[in-house]
Parts: sequence; structure tokens; C-alpha cells
Amino acid sequence: MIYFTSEMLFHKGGDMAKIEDLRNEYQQLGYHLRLIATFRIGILSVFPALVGALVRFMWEVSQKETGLLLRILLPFGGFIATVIVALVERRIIPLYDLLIRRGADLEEIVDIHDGIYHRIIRLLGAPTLRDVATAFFVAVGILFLVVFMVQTVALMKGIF
Amino acid sequence: MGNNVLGENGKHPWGWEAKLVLVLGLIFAIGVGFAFAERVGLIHFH
Repeated sequence: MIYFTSEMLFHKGGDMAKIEDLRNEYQQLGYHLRLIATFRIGILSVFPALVGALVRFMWEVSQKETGLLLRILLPFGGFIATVIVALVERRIIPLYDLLIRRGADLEEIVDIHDGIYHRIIRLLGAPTLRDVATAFFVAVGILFLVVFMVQTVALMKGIF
Repeated sequence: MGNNVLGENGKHPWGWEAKLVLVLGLIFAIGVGFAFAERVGLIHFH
């Protein structure tokens, strides 16, 4: 969505205040993008550690004669956590795309056709990272479901 | 595809990287499932 055209700004006597607004918005876009990138990297580092710790804990619990409720609730909780993190990721990606598109619009307005946002759009012609993240979340969710099923079958068969 | 990826809800076919991660992840998940099944005594490997 383009609010101002370059003709409005530069050729038909557009005031400098609007240009200053656009510059501020362009700067703020960079801050937002950095925040989102930091958050996604945070997920990337925290979530696998969480999964590893949870699998290790499930492994410990399933050896001892612990309460079966815990043995079933742990993998189920892991599955829920995976779904929540995947939903957060799905929410963030459109926001990221929105910021990139707005940045490209601002660059169009000031006649920069090879700015960083245009380059990012070209770079994201094949957005592999988000697909890899989705595949990873699906696999981890299925891992927790498999363990959940194993523990449930063990409960139903009366194996401790 | 191409530059259209950021628009139109971003729908596009998965690349080979995502498919590889999914297949490896599923193999890992099934392996962990078998390990747990043996651990709790559902199956026995001899």
C-alpha cells in the first residue's frame, strides 16, 4: 500500500515534514525487523534445548516405576508446547512479510529500486527457512505424539 | 513462486531442505518411539 508517491513529495511541492515522516518510518521498520529476527533466533536456540531436556526427562521417568499419569502427561505437554511455539511462528511470519513489503513501498516512494527491502524480497524468492522450521515443528510434534501413544498403550496393557 | 512468495498468503511448494528435515525428523521420531516402547516393555529386541 503506497500512501505517498514520489511525484507528490518531490515534484508537486510536497513538504519536508512528510519526507521526515517517511524517514522515521523507514528507521522504525528496521527496529521492528531486528526485534523479530532476534525473537526467531531465540526460538531457534531455546526450543531444541527444551525438547532435548523434555525427552531426557521422559526417558528417566519411563524407567522408574513412576506414576503413569506423569509418563503420559509429559509427552502430551511437549506436544502442546510444540503446537504453541509453531503457532507463534506462524503469527510472526506474516508480520515479518508485512514489514518487508512496507519497507519496499517506502523505497519505491523515494525512488530507491535496489534498496535493502527489495533485495530481501528477491532473497526470499525461495523462503527455505520458514519451511524448514515448519517441517521441524511437525517432526517434533509427531515425536511427542509417538511417545504419548507408547505410554498410553503401556497403560492400557497394564505394563509398568 | 519467485518474487510472489511474500504475497498471496505465501503459499508455495516446499523446497528439498524442508522435505529432508521432515523425513529425517520422522525417522528420528519413529526411532525414539521404538526406544521408548522397548524401555517400557511393550516390545523386546533380542
